[in-house]
Amino acid sequence: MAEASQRDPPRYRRLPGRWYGVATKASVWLAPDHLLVVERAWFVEHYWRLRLRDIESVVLQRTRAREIGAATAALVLAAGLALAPWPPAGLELRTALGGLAVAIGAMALVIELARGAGCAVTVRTRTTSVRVRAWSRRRAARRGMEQLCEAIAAVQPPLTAEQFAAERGTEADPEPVQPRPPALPPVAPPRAWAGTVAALLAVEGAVAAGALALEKIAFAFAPLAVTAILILIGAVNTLVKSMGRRAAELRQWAVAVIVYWGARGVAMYAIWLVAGWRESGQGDVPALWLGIWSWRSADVAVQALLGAIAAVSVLMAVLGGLAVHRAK
Amino acid sequence: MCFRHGTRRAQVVCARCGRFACELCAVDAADEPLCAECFGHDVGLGGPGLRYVSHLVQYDSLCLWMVLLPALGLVTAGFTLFTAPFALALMLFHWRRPMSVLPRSALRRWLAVLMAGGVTLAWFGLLAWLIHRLVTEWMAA
Repeated sequence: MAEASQRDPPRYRRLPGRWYGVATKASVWLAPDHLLVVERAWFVEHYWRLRLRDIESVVLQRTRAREIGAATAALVLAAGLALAPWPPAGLELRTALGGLAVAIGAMALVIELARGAGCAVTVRTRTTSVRVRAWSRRRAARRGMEQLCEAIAAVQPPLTAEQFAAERGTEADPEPVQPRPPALPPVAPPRAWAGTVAALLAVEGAVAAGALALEKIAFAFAPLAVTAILILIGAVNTLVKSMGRRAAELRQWAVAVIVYWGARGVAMYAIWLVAGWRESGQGDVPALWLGIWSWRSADVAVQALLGAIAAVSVLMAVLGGLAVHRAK
Repeated sequence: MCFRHGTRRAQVVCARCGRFACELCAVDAADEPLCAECFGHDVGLGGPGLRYVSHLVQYDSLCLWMVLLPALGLVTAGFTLFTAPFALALMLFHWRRPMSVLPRSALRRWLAVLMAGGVTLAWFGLLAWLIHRLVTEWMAA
């Protein structure tokens, strides 16, 4: 039977490092006897417990998270600068949208650069490997790992020569070193693709609805441009993340993109039917599916933006198909 | 013999319900032997079994968002007629349930109940006023 102290709830101490995604959050906590890796997806918290005495290694691998994040932010910044006319010609919608994109891009760029270089940390025991998603930046990961290693050292005292010999066996007959499996399996966030899809649709719908309510013009320039920018940000972000990740996560992102575009297609088709565009002859289903709501009324800048969205969409579809094919 | 497996020899007596449990059914996670049912109940009430759960649903946040999210939009605010009472019932049903193994304030729980209760009361008040008005007009006619 276990010792009496197990009746008391463990007192957790949060280690440095957090990770935020779309409707997901990750953190890592230290109890006196175990490490708790927490990932939250929507309203469910998932836990992985690793006893300190069982931890065999903590592996830190370098990633290009900072470079990818900074490139995405710079892209948004550039798109905003291209969209916004300079000098600003009064309080126009185009100026406001471009300014918003510039502000978001600049802020994201500063944050990405300030957070430091990226990494992926995996904690391994004899039987399992757990990816600590909260430690996605090297600076925070190193601080957290220092505290973790101190705690591990406290429960795993160094072996004496006799203990080492006893563990290893007789000197005459040493145990052959077993090769380790080379790959460190990543722990993907639970149902990340569903959250991504829902969040993208919700944001797009909310912005479009807001723009519609403000402008009182159905499917006109305002929601088109706002939605186009949002889709571009989401698609490019998804694309670059997909390129920088491992196969299991790539599949999740690919599924997210495919489902997102599928769901958009259904929604757009419903709007097309309800709005009576079928009778009026405005727009067609493929154009709606790609987010091109009023191609004829859009100006050159918006047409270029929409062209980029269409190109990214096709690329995403190809990448998604390739990922699914490879997974099979 | 085991309470669940009639052909297996019992190994322990559950410290909560007193049922005999075989080695398959017994859980020695805490400092007392429990049967699987009591262990599950214990987890639900935040007992020592909470140390072993793999996930927990945060009903306080869920209920709070069920009230807040529709209320944010002018058009969608009407949905609170359905979501607020549902959120209130859900929150009260899961009131004693632990929402996280980590330190968590009870503020969300109270806020969810207060907001869901307030919105539900407001809706019922509005409905009562409408019914009263309709009945009064009908009586006058």
